[in-house]
Amino acid sequence: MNVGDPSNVTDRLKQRLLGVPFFAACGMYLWRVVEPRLIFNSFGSILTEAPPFLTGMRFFKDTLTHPGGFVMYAAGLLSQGFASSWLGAVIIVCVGLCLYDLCLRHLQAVHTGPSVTAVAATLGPAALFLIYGRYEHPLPEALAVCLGLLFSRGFETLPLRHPGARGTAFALMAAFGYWLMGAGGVLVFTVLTLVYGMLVHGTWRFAIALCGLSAAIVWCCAQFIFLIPPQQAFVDLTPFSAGVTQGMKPLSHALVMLITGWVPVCMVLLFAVEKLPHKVKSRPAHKKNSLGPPKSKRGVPVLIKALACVSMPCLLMGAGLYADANTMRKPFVQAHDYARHRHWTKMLDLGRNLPRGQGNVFVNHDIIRALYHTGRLPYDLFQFPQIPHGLLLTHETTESFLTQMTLSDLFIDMGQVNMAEKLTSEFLAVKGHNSAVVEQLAWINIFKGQHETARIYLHALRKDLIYRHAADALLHSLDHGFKADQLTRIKQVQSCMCHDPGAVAKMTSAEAILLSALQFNPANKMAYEYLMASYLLTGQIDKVVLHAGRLKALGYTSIPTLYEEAILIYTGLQGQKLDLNRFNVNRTTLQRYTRFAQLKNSITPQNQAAVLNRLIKEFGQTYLFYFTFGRVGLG
Amino acid sequence: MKLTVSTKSLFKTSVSCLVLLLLVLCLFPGSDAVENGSSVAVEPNITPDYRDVVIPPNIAPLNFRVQHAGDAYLVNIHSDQGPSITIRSKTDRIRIPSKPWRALLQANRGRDLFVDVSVRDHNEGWHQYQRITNHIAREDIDGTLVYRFMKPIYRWWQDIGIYQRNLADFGESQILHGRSFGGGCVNCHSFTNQTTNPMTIGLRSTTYGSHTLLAQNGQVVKINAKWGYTAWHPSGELAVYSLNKVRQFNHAGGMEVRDVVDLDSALACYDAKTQTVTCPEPLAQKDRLETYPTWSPDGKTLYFCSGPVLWEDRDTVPPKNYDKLKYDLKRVAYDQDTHQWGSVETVLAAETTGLSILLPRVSPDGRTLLFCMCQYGCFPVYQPSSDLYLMDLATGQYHRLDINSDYSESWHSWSSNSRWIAFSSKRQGGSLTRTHFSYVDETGHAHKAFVLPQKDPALYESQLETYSVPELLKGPVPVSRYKLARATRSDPAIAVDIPITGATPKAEPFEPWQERE
Repeated sequence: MNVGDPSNVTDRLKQRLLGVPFFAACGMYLWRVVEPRLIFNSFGSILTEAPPFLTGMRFFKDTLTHPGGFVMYAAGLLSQGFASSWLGAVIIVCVGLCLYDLCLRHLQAVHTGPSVTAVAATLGPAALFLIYGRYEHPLPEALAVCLGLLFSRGFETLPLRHPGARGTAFALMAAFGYWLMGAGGVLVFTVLTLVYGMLVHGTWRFAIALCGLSAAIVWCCAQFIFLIPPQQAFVDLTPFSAGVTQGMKPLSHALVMLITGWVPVCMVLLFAVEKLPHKVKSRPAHKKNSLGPPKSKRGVPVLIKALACVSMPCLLMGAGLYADANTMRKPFVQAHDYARHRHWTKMLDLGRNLPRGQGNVFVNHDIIRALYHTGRLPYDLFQFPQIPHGLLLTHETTESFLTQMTLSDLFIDMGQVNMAEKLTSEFLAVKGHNSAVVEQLAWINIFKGQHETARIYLHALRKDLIYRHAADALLHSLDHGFKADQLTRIKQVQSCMCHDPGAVAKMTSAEAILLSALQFNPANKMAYEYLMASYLLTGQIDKVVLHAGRLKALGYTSIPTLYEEAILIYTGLQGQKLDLNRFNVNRTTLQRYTRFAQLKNSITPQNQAAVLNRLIKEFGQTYLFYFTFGRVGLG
Repeated sequence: MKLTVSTKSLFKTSVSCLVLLLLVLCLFPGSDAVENGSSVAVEPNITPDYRDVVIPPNIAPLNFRVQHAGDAYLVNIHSDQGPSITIRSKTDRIRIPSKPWRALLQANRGRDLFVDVSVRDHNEGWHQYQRITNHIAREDIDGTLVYRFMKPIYRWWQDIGIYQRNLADFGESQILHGRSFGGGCVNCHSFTNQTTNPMTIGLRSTTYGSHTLLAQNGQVVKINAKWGYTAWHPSGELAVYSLNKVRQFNHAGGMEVRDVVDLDSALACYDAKTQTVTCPEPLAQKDRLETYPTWSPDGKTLYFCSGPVLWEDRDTVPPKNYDKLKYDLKRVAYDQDTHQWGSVETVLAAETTGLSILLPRVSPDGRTLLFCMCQYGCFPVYQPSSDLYLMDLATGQYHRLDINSDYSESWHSWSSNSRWIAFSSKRQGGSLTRTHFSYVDETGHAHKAFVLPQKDPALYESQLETYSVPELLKGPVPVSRYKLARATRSDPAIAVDIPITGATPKAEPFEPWQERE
């Protein structure tokens, strides 16, 4: 490339300017629509592979003892910025810009059309933004790719011609790069070296030899320096690493692959286009290695071309977003966020505005929790679509970490603090430090009255830039007494905790968990309401009737509506008369039951649809409807 | 000309030095200022608690943090012989320089070590606290400590390593890490007479299988058997190890969530010469659960723990009466020449103590036996009731050591001179184990324990990892990390077949949580 050529400088500036609207639009989208804050709040639960970050030399040194440690450290640090949506968006856009700029520099080596390269270079960042739109966090992989691209540019600009010198420089860079950016970065660096060797320098034999050298370097580093199995050494920070393959959905995984492989693939494609016979004929004067783009001499007006270049990436991004649209994606992370911050009213509002016919077991779980905390669980359960597994997240054979962490929150509320400790500790042992988890463990120890251990967790939490203030506040509370709201929560949890050290936890089924919680502490109101909800959801009305006897002892002054309906259904099915001495069912409920029974019994094949509509309209959100039709009738 | 330059530079240097001196004087008032301060009639609160302890003359500096607010700290460490050490600090973290510390300790073996702490309050000036008096023992502690370092584990793990620490300084190095074989688990490291030849490390991995690494005479090989608690005969020719069908379960209440039970267990012998395994009848009885073997230093007696099987169903978890199971302390004679085992005798019965007796370790001089006792079961680290006891083997008398806390004490080991013990304690809050040391004098009295010193005195305040199974060794593990790591991924070089007897626990499909902390 002729760096001093003023036309090249102008073209490069033009290329970068062409990207400005795209990146600005994406930045706005990320900030206002995606809200990276939601991604941050998903660390340690939805996003289990999020890179951790702690202040202090110990963490820094520990991180750097792994291949790609630098990238992980940088990714961890940058991830802290996601706590604020605008900063998170800026960080994502900056990483996208790095990808874009580095991609441009590489593409210019094989192709001279500024517009084509500018559009092509936006595909990598677009893929990155799309992944973030899916609430996934490929920052380490993206940074590794950026570094790989940078290393490759650096290598190509080295003033070395002798194969020995180039080979040595390559080996040193690959070894250093492996430590810095893991196998992901080295893979990009190596593949690009191969592409340059074959397309630009015409030294394909030498380039293949360098590929072999790169593999040998990675193998040696794994064997003798990092002491890790080679199969792991070759995949760290690549799209094939366990973190990516396990933690991401297939499309996101494919997009990570695109980010990794886009530059070399694009270089090959553009080179092929450049070398097409008609092009060669039409522009014979153009040199192979020249990066200076030719001026547009055809009839396409410059403005239209520029507009096309500006709008093309935006259109592509828009098309990608449209094709990938999922109306439950954001509510899912938002519900998680509300539940974490105990914003129950907002949670219920979200539940009411969920897209029709769409369900998510975790959102359902959070709605049930919100209903309990607002005191509406025995009344409004069927005002929301229900998935029976949502109650205690029994939908998985092997619990995922998301399930474990969600259940951990629930178990704390329910006083099953030891179970919560087990689940959170498990996360920490397997996934390493995560501040949300450490904060949870600090609270667990506070509930258990183990303040000394809580302090250890809080001191560990102080090393997190974002959680530091929360840790300090809690440490202050430990020293000088808890605030009223903290004290209320502590007392609430302690009031339903099991205090018998010999009690064995039963985790065999939802019913067993809830029954044992009640057995350990009969005053555990939450366990009771959940148990009743579980019976309602599974249609076990006989058990609802059986356990309705506990209501008085738990301080209920009247029978909650949903239980009344279940009792009425049960007595109706049994052909019995309602024992008003035992169950003082509200007159309105009784009338509703009678009306429902009449309407239901009036169904004939001719009026089925009409009656059903009336039933939905009048009784859709009652247990009467749910029990009869096995679903909630929401319009 | 040259002379002018050097005069100028001399002048500049002198001025710089003077300025520096003035600065230092401004920042740290002289010792007379401290003497003018008020004295406080109590010892200072320091963490870790290094007060009134007996320390080895070869221990690393006992760095500590002063738990009194102030804007300057002055610590003077001195004894009868040698120059004292003065540390001035703007923060509450007191880091003692290694060289003078080492010299002071070496010059004062058997004498007291004094620590004077003064804290300057911004308004009230210096407060001088009462002197802390520690004692320097005459006897060294073995120079290396090997331990497992990890987060508290339940069913799964990712980051477990075995590390060694030079006790004379803060040097720590990795012996083997689980990431060397795909995030596997390393456990049950065992040595011979506080030396590393031979030594074994247990491996558990879903990718590479569950095997045992044997390092002997500079060679590392993999044995295709999963060894539990291992005791190497002093000759290094025989290892007795446990086979455990261990299951974990959880408690809904109480401080410790985890609990484990051996549904079945027995002891097996590995003959290093013939590379064969036997299950001698005295060590593997069908109606008993044998575990925790340990040899007497002369190699003539094997001590172990044995409890009755209180359940018929060996699959239900937890089994019936799991909390009634208490282990006895047993021993059996062994003739190395004939490879003959004697008959089992009870050294201390659980019926007598009312507690479960676990983890026996005979002191290298053969005079005493250190063990744990807890309310029930086989795993003291999960039992807050677990305490350390010392038995005089000549008389059979035993006593509870004063060094115990309200929390679990376990995983103890002896220094080769029988004067020091290292053990795991959860005294820092009840959840995380830290390694503590205690001096055991000739009379069997264990002096106040102190925690393994760290370069950063505040380290334990935020460390979420546990130090498990601390073993004292005379010297560092000589086998390279590379060799061990490579061996973990190799095919087993030694194939052993465990003879199946009625008492042999059934082979189980691998489950990650069958591991021990």
